[in-house]
Amino acid sequence: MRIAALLFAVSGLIFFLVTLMPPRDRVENPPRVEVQAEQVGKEVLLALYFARADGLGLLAEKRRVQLKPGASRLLAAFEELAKGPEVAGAAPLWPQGTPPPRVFSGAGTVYIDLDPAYARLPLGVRAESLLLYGLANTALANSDADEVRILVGGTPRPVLVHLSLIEPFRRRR
Amino acid sequence: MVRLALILLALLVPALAQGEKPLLAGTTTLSARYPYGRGISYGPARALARALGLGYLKTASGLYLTLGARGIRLLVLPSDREAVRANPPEAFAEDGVIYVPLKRVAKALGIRYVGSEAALRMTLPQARLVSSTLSTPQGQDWLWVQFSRDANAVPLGEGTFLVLGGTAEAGFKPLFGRYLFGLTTEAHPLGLVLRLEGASGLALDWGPGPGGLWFAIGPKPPSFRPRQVAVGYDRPEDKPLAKALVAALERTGLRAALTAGPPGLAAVYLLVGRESPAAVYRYRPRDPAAWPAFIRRAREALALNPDPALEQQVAPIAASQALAERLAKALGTGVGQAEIRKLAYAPKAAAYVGLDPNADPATALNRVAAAVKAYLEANP
Repeated sequence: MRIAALLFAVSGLIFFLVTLMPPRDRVENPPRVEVQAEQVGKEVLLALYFARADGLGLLAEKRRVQLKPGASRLLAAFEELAKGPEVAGAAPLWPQGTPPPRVFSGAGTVYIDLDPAYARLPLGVRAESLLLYGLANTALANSDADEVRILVGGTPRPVLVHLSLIEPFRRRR
Repeated sequence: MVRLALILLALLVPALAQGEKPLLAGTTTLSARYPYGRGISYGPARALARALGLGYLKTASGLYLTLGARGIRLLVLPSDREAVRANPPEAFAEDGVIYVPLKRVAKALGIRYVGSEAALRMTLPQARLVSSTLSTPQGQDWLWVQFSRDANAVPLGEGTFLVLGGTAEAGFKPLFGRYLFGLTTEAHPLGLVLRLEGASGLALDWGPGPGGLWFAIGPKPPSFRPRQVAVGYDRPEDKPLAKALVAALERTGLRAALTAGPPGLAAVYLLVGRESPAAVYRYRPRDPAAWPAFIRRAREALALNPDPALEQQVAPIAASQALAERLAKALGTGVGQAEIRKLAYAPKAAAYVGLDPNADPATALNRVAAAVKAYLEANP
């Protein structure tokens, strides 16, 4: 009788401890929503892609920054991109006065949302290529995402001005 | 007592003559009326036709309402009194509006008519694309597109039609005819867009049949010559430049036209923009699968079998490279590659020409026109 009471008490304790544990899938598969914040104050090396001043290609700039509270490497990279280049021979990706792009990620994809004002910029194919590839390369270089999709005004569009936005920009393996 | 009954009758007759009910036609709310209280519902013809996608034609001999191969002719009588007394009831005109007997119209055109004390409802189910059959009698392609009900279509452009109230899954179905190589379907707020791939630039007859539409596609008469160059633009600000290029091309003796849509069968498609310094690009997708399926398949077929009928429709990618090289040489630049969306839909030689806004436009335009002429002479 005493043994049965002891067994009952032990099984009750085990049940209590199990219910206190978090579900396994929450531990093993954290949901990938929005940009995940990294360690505050951690210094990270960012790769930023700006336009070359002669307009004939992109120029990569390495920049070391301290992460702000709530920031991730990706958000920090786009914040730095908005500040413009520090290296000689580079030019900003978008003209001054244009709202900076919004960026967020999920399920292996980085989404870059451009203000509709970008579609009204007097962009030729060259300038549009530099803008889109500069944004996509910066996003891929500072995240684990496999692809980048560009939205305009929060929605998918077939083109910005000339170039197709239908296919994603994928990381080269 | 008799006097009271007469007074009541006098009050009731106009009330019956004015009787009205809401009429839900498709998704549009109209107003139905019952002239002289004879229990015959009438509705405004033009508004009803618009709401249900019916064909509407008013002639001296009457009013015609059509739905695909079905139709009804109604006499338009001068007063509602005559119209409701006719057997069967006819239409009447009042204050410039023609009213038609709803039940008669619904029966003739296969429209569902439901009446209740409170309201009337006239509905047509969606015309679902059921099948498409292609045959090639006597040097023509004959295409029969079957829907789940009769439907009207409106031509939107060369080989493109809007089927009112139509529906299908958007996509591309390959069709192997003499000229046609596919049927593309796209959703539209008013129904379904059908695009007959390969029909552009050819003679095209079409019409309604029972539960569907037929299309006959064949070569144009010998006098028809497709334009040689189509010129397009992406930014509205570049339209004047595109127009100026058309004029420069025509001065060299080429047949050129401005196009806001697809380039059709033009041997050369130029997309015009502004670049500083000047630049020339040809299409290259980020993903090889991004080529439109009908162009990719036609090019694959052309590579396997250089059929003259197919050569009328499509050119290999090398044609765009050859054109771009001539244009780049004329403007003193190189050939770039970019995923310029409009160029993807050009089945023949196509290139983007970015002209320098700081340079003399007339000289640049004349150089571009001369390069295109040289390309066409080398590739007749």
